[in-house]
Amino acid sequence: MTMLNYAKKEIICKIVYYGPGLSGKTTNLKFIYGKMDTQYKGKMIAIATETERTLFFDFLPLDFGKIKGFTTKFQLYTVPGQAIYTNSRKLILKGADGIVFVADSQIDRMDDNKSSLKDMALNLREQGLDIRNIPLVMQWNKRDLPNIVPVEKLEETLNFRKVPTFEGVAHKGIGVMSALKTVIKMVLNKLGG
Amino acid sequence: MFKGSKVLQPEDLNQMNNIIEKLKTQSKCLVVLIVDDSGHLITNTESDPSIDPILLGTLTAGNFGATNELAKLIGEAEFTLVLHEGNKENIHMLAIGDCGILVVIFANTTPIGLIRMYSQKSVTALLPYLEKMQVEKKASKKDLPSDEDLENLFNW
Repeated sequence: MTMLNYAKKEIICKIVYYGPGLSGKTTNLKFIYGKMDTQYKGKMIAIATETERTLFFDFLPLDFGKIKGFTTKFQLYTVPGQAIYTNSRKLILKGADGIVFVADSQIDRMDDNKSSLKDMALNLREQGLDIRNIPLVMQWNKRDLPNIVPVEKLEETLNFRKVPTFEGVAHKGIGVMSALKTVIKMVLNKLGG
Repeated sequence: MFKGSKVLQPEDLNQMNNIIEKLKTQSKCLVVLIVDDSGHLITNTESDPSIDPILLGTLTAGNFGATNELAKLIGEAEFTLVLHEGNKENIHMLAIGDCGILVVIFANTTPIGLIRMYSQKSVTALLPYLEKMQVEKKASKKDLPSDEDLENLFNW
């Protein structure tokens, strides 16, 4: 949940990247880390296995400096996508202010996308959060690969809330910053009532 | 379950800072941090510049959360204390109710009993302030960046 620190004149929000294993959540964070000027970013950490699969979470702190008298900070997390890590995902969702759901556009990953979305709804509920009203955007990642599902089908199958969606090729940065910017705006708009 | 924003007022932060400074002096530890349960750093005593308090806070919350899942596996409601022992320095983490974690980094030359005793006292003193932070409150729009501010911030 957002922390409004009136002593330090600081607002801190938590954004979580969710989605099935290998959908590109860590790639999103790595691109953001590479794109941001040093003044806006802190140290990125990744708790991963030897084969670079996320084991617990990745973390990237962003600090946009003082705007309107308050320093605005965002802490970006990814969850481990593999099905067995559901307890870890639950922990990372604790206090989330906004979510970027990263779906894999490939035809043979559609069942995984659907399972991950369902898993997210359940895990949010366990943290007292509601998938129906938390700030959420969706990224249809891997649009550069063959054998992908048409965007219309992804929208129909996964975007039950009609939230903003972005076609993505995360390793090239396509759809990465626009998804981040949109979820940040949604979080701040909700925070401001 | 609490779902609103956490609000920290200047006078409460001062009180919490006084408590952790006292803990640092009495226990002869190196650094003290207060972290909330979602990983946000609330405050910390001055530390070695090589220690990143934001990262430390995030990893602490993750570590503590994982430890509590372990507790549930063996039928415990929670583990309130986590201790990591190193060659030269150690980390002692103690739950502040269900609102946060008190993190103390101390050298091997400092007796663990001292850290435990003063940490426990500090947790009792800190708990009312952390509970007070959990209020349903919206931020004032004038304090928040507008959509236009964000667009102009940098080249997205």
